[in-house]
Amino acid sequence: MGKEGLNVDVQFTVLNPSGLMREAEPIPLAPRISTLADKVVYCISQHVGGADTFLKKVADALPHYAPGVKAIYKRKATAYMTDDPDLWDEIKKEADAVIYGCGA
Amino acid sequence: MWGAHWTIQLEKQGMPGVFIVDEPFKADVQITCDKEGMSLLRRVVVPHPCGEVSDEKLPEIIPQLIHALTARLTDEERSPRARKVEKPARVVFKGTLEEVNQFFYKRGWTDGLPILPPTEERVQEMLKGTSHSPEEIVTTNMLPESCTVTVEKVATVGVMAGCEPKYMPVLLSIVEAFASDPFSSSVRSTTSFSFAVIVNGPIARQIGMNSGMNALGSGTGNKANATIGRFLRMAIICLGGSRTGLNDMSSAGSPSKYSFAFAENEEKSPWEPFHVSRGYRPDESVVTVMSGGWSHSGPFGYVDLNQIAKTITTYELPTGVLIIMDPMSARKVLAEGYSKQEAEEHIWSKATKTVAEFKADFFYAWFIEPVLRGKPWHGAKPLWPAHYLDLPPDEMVQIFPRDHVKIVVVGGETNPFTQVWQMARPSSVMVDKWK
Repeated sequence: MGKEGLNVDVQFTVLNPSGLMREAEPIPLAPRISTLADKVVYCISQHVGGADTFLKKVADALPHYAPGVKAIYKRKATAYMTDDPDLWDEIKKEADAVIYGCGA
Repeated sequence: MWGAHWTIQLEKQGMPGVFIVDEPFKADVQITCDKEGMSLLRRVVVPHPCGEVSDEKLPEIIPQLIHALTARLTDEERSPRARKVEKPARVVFKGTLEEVNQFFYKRGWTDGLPILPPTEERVQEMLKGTSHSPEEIVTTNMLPESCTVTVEKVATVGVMAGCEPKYMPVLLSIVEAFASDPFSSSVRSTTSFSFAVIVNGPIARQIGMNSGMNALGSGTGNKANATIGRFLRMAIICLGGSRTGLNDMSSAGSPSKYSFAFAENEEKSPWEPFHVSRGYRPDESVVTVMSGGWSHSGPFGYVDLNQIAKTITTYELPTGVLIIMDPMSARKVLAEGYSKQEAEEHIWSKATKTVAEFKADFFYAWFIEPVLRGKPWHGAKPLWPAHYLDLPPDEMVQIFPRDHVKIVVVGGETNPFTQVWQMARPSSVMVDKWK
């Protein structure tokens, strides 16, 4: 259809179709540890996209870069989107810091 | 998204953490961090997929991880500022049809097809389809970004998708049914999920939904099906904040993401309707949303139940199937002596693999094994029996969870055909309350 068949100059005032995002309370990061020496770092795989392989590598390599660190590889026992209270309890009890990956 | 979420949960409990992000997911992770109030979560970006990162990269990556755990917090990390979420202006643009569409494309407010301009007049007309107030909140959890949605917003997106006012109770029911946690993972998955909308009960006829010929297809007789199906995808995009490459990470996508809504052919079905099997009365109108869509098979001429069972054993991550059966096929199955439930049970029982094959599923380690070990999945009851873990590798097992093979009767009786779609996690809502 040519332009002559349409009134192309009609103006439309349109409403916003977007949903309202949540406004989150800002949360500070946890305090850091000054050194990894004599500390326990859990390297946690959420087992997607080869995370098991990569986090194992990280756990193996970490002591070479941070002497004295105890790096422990752990695989999350639930699907990546599912809570794993047992693991969180273990981390709170045993770990000084956490490396978590990979993916999103 | 989930990895960042769990790292943030640990940080909130005082555990210093760092999250390793695969490069394509940087934006998705930032969205999660912003939404959860920890925009500055420390992270290290690695090539994708991380499992293929070579050892040569480690000297670059490991020091970054150590730095993230040990470097003193900045002032902003210690006392982060609130991220201002501005309440969007109600009126956003004025222009010609083409300009409006260009504006909406630029803002990401379309499924790729042109939209109808949601003018005040059209939205007010759409609102006549429900008795509910425009300001009423339909959900505070519209996925993927858990947005708050009012009745007016649903009407606005309904206009854009080409819906009619009489569809409003169904549109509102779809939003309510979709705002359900089991869909929170699939809506942003790399696995190209789509969502099927099944409408049962009197409302389907009242608003002109097609349950017969080409009900899942295109055509002028399919306005209700096509636009209602489109509405859900547009709602995910506009109301829920979905954007390809940011938080919709579908690897290849699926044409069923555009529109996938239909009514059951209750008049021609020899069995009780789908919603009645789910516990509703025949005279109740019900919308059911299901998630899946990445596997699809057919046409299974003359509906051989064993052939269907054999075919669906090729589906990965076997969480459930929706079998869309023409009335001719359904009558044939009935003539062979099967009730609907018996046909579903038969297909389930014959969809078997050896334990070794079952464990070779691409998703076994991610999803299936944790469930076999008793871990929950979206709060669902155990999907597969735990004793599968103890069986010898050559033992045959049913690969789908029991009761997750479902039949719905749809079609125009031009041939006894059947389609099967990977579909699971039905979420149903009664429509009448939204009238």
